[in-house]
Amino acid sequence: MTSPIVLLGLVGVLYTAGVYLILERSLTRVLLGVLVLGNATNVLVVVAGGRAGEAPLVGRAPESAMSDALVQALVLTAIVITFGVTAFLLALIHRTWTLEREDDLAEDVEDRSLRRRLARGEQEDEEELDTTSCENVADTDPDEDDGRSTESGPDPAGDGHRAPAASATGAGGEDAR
Amino acid sequence: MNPGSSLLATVIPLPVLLPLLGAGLTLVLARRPTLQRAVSVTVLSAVVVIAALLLVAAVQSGPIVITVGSWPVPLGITLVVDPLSALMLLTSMTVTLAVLVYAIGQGVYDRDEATPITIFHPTYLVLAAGVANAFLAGDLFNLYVGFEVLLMASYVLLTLGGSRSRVRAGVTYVVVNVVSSLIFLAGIALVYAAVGTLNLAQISVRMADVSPGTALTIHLVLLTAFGIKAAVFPLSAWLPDSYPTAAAPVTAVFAGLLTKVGVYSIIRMETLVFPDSDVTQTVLLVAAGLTMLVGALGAIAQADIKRVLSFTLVSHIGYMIFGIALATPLGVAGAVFYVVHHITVQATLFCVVGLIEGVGGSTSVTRLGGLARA
Amino acid sequence: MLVLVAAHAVAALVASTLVRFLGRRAFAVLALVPAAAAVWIALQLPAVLAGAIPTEEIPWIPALGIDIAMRLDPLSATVSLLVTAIGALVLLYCTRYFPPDARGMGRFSAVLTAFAGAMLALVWSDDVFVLYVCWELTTVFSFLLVGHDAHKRASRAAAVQALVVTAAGGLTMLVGLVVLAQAAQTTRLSALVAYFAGPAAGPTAPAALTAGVVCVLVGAITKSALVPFHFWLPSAMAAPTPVSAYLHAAAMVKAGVYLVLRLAPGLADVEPWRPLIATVAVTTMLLGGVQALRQHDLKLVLAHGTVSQLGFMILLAGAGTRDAALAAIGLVVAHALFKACLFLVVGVIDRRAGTRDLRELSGLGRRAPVLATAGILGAASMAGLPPLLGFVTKEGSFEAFLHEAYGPAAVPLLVLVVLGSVLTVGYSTRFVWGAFWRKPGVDPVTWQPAGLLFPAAPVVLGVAGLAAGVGVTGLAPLLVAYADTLPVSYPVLFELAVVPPLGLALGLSVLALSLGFVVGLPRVSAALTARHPLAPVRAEITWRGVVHALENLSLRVTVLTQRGSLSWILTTIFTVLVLGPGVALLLSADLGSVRVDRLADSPFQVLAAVIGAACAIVATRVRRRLGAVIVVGGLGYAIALIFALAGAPDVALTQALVETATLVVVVLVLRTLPRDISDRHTPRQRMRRLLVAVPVGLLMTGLGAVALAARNAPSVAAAFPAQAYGFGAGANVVNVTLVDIRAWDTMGELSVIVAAATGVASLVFLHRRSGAPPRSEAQPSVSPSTRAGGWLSAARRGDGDRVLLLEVVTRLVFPTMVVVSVYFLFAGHNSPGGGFAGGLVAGLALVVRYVAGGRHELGEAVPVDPGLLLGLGLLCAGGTGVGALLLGGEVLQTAVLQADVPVLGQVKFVTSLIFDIGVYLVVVGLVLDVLRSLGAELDRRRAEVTSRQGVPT
Repeated sequence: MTSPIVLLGLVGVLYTAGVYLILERSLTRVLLGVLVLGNATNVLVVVAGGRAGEAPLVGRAPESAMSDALVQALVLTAIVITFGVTAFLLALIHRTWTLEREDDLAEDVEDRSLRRRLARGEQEDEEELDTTSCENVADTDPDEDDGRSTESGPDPAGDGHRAPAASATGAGGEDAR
Repeated sequence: MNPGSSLLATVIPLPVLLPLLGAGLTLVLARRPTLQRAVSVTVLSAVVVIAALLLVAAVQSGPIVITVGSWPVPLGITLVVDPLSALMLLTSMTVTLAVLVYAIGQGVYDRDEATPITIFHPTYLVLAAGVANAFLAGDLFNLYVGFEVLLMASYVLLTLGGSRSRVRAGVTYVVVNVVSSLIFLAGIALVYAAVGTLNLAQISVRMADVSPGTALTIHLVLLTAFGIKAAVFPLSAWLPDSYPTAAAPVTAVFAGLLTKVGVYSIIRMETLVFPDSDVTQTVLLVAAGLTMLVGALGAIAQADIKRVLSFTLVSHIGYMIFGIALATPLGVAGAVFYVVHHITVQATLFCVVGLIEGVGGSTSVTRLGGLARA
Repeated sequence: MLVLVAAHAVAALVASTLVRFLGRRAFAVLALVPAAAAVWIALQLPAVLAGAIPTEEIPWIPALGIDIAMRLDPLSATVSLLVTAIGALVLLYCTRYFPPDARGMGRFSAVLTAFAGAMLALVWSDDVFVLYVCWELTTVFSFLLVGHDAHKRASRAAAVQALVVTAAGGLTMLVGLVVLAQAAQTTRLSALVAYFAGPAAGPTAPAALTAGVVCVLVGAITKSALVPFHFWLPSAMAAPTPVSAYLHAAAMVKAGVYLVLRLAPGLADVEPWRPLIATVAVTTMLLGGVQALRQHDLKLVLAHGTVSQLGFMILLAGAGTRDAALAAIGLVVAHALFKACLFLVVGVIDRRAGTRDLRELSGLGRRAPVLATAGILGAASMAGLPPLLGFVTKEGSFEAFLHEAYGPAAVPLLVLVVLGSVLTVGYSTRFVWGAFWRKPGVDPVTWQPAGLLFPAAPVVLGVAGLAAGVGVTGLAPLLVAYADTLPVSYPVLFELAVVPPLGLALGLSVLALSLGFVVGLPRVSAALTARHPLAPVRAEITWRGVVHALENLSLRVTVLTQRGSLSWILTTIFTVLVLGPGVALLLSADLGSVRVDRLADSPFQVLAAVIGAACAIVATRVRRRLGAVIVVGGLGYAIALIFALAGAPDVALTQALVETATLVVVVLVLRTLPRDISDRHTPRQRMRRLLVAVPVGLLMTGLGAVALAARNAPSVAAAFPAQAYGFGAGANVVNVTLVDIRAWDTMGELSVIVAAATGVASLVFLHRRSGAPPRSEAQPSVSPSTRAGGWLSAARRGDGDRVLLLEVVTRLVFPTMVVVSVYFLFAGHNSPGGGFAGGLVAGLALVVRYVAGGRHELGEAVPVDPGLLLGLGLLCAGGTGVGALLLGGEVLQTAVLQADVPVLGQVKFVTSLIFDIGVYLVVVGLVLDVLRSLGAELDRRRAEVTSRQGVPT
């Protein structure tokens, strides 16, 4: 089986652009990278079906001339899954933005502290360990506190619907920021 | 298939269907947390019983294959229960149930950490369904779907509560896994392009006719995807950055199950789809050794128990891959045994860390001490 | 035998409870268990000596030939008798050692009993892997015992050190055992020794065997605290004294000696068994002796003495000759008796006098004559004074070297052994002097009477040493029975006797004793050790260095591999992708088979591809956030066109709809972010990314071409059209595939969507997901559908921006879209459409109303909780599956062929439509949920912020 060169070429270009985008630090570009890579993969799946043909509708085209229906079903599934992932990533971007006011992804705190530990040399190891864990705790706690403080404020969007088990910690810490 | 197993065959889809129905039900029952808990526990208990029955049946009468919607084999999707998948199913579902009970208990016990129960239960059940589906899948694309189901649920569970560290970790986790899924999907496209089928058994038959070099190339694409999911070095760096941030029950079930689904897929690839591939065996052997070492060294460098455990998790993946890479019956048996043991132990360890966090208020080893008496 | 081992385990489990009820008296109850074992062993002795060796086994891992096998031969009988008897005495001793209200006794008693059980099982086990398991069990339990006082830093450090050293040694030993078991083709210990004792093994062993022997010896050396791993044992003094006594006398360190004794009959001739043991053991013996002379803490005197004695024992045990073995096993017994006795004496002193520093103790001998007698008996046995057992065995050891143990090295070794004996006598003297003598210038210690029971155990042990010495002929048969398993090296056999024959050995004993007393004099020993005569190896410091180096290495490796940045992780992944499959593609894939037969299928395809590629490239450069989004949207539409051209109308339709929905959602979120994307990358970083991206692109193109060229069988999908129409009753093959042939996939996909929608809600609302979208506050109870002209009522009240044209269009478009969506849903089975497309159209209709009417309009349009829609949809789809299962159950009885209808039943059309309705509901639920979360909720928060700030919109 073969495929037209333009499609294979398109796959290559899309993968290149997608990888280039996803390696960015800006989360928006990462998201765009995911979208482009998703499209690239979908095209690859369709290419894998072989020669393009008529729409696979029985009665409107001879069966031998139909395009591969299986890959189409796969692509449909993949498209919808990518949509779900996109929506979730967007929610993450939104959350990152409200917490950090940054579109970039910060490096992992613990990994960074290890690097500093190595750089500072061995004698200060123990102290460094302590400060690391302090930073770490400080990283999460104020956030929770903020949430608690906004909770006392007006929150008309269906507070009454809250499940009893969900205790009173933080809805929408972003307002305070 | 013997007569006794035909009744059993009808329950094979239930480990996936029941949690999904349970998820739908818990969504509908969003305002009745007690009922939600009851639904989750009931559903998962039922699944554990079914998994146990399936394991007995699979060991006694050999693999059971069912065709979904009764479409003939290469056309439709098959679900396969053999001793391996049944064992994995039973182990994973038992751990899932246990961690659920733990989560419910801890939610009551530790009221400070809000348990967003209306989100937790449906998602947790979807996760269980995804894991079960991945273990039962006899079809490459269905395996992908199983992965997506469990991954999507895991994204939600990991970022539960949306604190700063969890969101940060969540982005890494989601993007890395999306990339791995895309590579997996590309691999599926390549497999389909080369052999024109998605049924795992048929792929392995037809793959024998493909030129070895091409088969190897496709094989390596799939291994890369599974390697990311299983956290095999050098594709493992995402795991220690993401797992430790999640809530204790979530980390427990992730550590126990998710990477193992990747390992399970590698076992299937190496034993069923691409058997006797010398090159990949060597590659896996080297990667396994490095994974053990890098994971263990990483664990030594950490000061936080959750991170220590995350690195040991990576290290232990190395042992499983090692067994697979040996490509002898004993090696694979050892790997499977190790997987089962590790699912249980690692989940337990993270649950214990959750308790430590509750009692000691920290997971940093420099701040803890003397808890054995507490 | 297994019963007795199990009894220990049970006792350990109930120990904690016992302590709760009985307090420290519980130890006495626990002592019954090892005592029972000791009695049982004693009863078996006649049979053992007669050659009727009791064995027991139960299969464990039959596939690997590993059984839980137990064996009571003379060697294991001797050692296990020590283990159980001393274990019982130590437990008894604990009833007085601990204050009645001591904390942590429950845990301690449990661990100590378990430790005794593990040690017993170790000695009895006849399978190398069972041995290994027990070995590690003793390691773990000793870790817990040494670290008993977990609040003390020294205690924790010592415990960790002991654990790391012995566990590392244990693992090394495991490797060695595996090698040996492979070589001998058996895991049975007795068979393995017999195999190597046979003609199979010789001095010219294969490299693997040499490695195996070295590994096993490393295990023994670490466990028995020989140089260079001797440092953990003195540190382990942090443990409570009964533990020290047990650890030193009968358990733990004796495991190493036992292993050497056990393997010597088979492996002593394998190089480098003898040179390795001789070097390590002699060094340890001398080093330990010198260190013992330098200590002031009585426990440390004994601890270093143990190190020295262990060297001595292993030297003898490893010789592999009959006489040396006899001396070795005799010494093991003697050492167990006197060392346990001495430690327990120190424990009494520590408890009653409040110190164990020999510089502070004075005049104790008069105050506590019974205790002193026991102590002196023990020390005398240690020094080798007649007629105690220590003397008999020391005689034996000198004889062994005179009888050419270690062949040509016998004489130099003998000199060193005599030197070691001098040191032993020296520190024994130091101990007795330090503990009991009156010292000028030191006030006599305050002494609380010890009672009767507290010193009972040491007295019993001290007297036992004496009795065993006098009655050594009674003990001899058991010891000789082991020794006779080794080859005789000298024509004259040495026999254990309390009255030795006059000869060189006796002379050496006298020499050692007299020199030793001199060395033991406080001044002499101080002078001798002041200037570090042996320049002791600073193993402790080396240990710290190793630990530190390891930490440093781990830090470096981790920093190197764990950068903590997403782009680094992704770069690694793509690099692996290029290096793995990429290299395979270039080197081994069938590139020659790739055929190029056409540029494109149609000119439009070229156009669409070019537009798509251009969009993708432009998207990497656009800095305006929304601009970039729109460009990527353009790419999506171009791809929809490509799908349409490729004969995939359903995919094209869905792609276009999804692309639209994606655009809307992306814009909804990104409107809150700054206009431009921050661009902080240097040209070098861009180049780096390009260097990753381009190979990936080339790789995927190449992979696609090669994979396509490899196809030589028709696709399974070729049969789809006929099947779909005949079996699935639908003309639209893709739709039939989705809702029937591969409905299982679709159901998974639905759960993905449900999870995604839940996740979006989770991240926006954080702690709940229930609740309908907000409606206009004025008439919340009236459903809009019951009111004529209720549309856009929220907009009419003027909240949100009103665009008249949009409102008009909405009024026209919304009903049309709803109709179209329903049409898609029902017609999808036979023509392009289906639940997905229908649901998306309905979702987009909601988008239109939301955009036109603001957030309240959303609630007016669909006044339900999206979670409900999602849940119902999932129930619909899953319900079809379960319903069909039930139906299938009925069908089962009539038609066997239909038995496998687990998901979708007989009435195809109906069930798959219900399934598709489920799909429809889930998709609508997703869009509604996303709009509610990322649209309405964000609007609300913005409105709240602006109203709080008082700034007009």
